[in-house]
Amino acid sequence: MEKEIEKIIKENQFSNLSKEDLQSIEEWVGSEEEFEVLKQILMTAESLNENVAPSPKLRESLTDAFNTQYSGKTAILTNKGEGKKKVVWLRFAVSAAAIFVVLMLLFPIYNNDQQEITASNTPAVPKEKAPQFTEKKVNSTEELEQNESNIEELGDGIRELPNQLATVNSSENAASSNPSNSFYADADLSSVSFFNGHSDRLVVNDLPEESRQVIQENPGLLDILYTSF
Amino acid sequence: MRLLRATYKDFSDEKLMHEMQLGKEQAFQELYDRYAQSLHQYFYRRMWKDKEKAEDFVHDLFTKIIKNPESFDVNRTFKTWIFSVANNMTINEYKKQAVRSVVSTGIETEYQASTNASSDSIVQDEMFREALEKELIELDEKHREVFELRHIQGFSVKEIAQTLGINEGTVKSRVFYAVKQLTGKLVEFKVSLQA
Repeated sequence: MEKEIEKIIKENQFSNLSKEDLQSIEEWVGSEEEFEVLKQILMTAESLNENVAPSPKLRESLTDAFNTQYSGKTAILTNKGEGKKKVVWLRFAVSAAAIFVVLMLLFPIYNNDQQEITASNTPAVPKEKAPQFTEKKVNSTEELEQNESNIEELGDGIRELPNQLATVNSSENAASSNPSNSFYADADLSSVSFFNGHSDRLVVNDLPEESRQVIQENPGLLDILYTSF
Repeated sequence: MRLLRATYKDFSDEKLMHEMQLGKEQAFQELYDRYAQSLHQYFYRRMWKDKEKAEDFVHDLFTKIIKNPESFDVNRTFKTWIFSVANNMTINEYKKQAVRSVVSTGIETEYQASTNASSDSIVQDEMFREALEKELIELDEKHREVFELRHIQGFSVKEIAQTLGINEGTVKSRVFYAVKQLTGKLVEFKVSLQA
């Protein structure tokens, strides 16, 4: 029964019905008598919903049941009852154990790899060697003076080196030798080294043949090279 | 707490159901407050006006919701879903107990006793009411349930269709049949009363 028909029947007397109303309800009621009975049925049916209510205790007990069911975090993790809770926690435990075992298995492999990498890297990155000649040849100022005593003063500021290897090292030694004196003018060029105040050096013997010839022909170049390095 | 409750009062039934599944007690209580009484009335009527039994059914129904909230069919409205569960519970109860005829006899006895009462309008109204209840019980189950849902519980045709899982045309035809049956029987009753 549509709401409109229900409304027509409930709110009108049969004698007050319009033609349209009568046409609307004719399917439902065939006479005034039926109209009045149906009206009473509809009015009475509403009141059949008796004012009965569950006791307040029912609400309390259901709330308790709800809290028992959804107590703690497990309520969020599961909503399918006790049996499922166990399954979920078991899954977590098994997953954690599996991850732990895998990590324990992988750790030695990873550790070996690290050691191999370290071992293979060691020669690849050698420590910078300090020039050994400095420690062997010139260990102290006294030795330096002794070495210098072996150098003959030739005059005009030109000094001649003995045949032994002439080594000059350290900034203080470099400072003590004055390049303006053409220190290497007559020296055995093959054994002359040049230092730039750091650990780099230039050995004339290491130079190409052509370069050595040029230097021998023009000893003044040594001064230039010295100041350049 | 009052603020929370006020918020939940604005929630739809379906949203409350979702919140309830997250363990929100207030959501559950709001749902209970919305439906407990109408369900109790429904069971009360369907369970032969046995208040204790009706309360037991309400308890069982809400316990089912608490324990298996995922059984809520999200494609349906909560109202039609919960009443369909209630309807199934009553059908199962009918199957369990073959007591309908006994109850019918009891009401008939009451009705006959009432007809001997005074004839003023209040009493006549009460008598009509009892007669209607008797005729409702006499109706077959499928017509009675649609009539009760439509005219006692106040469901729309669409809601009845969703609750019972039948199409709207079937609901309309069943309501029509039930109304015609009741009208015919109660016209006779009125005539007999006036005679």
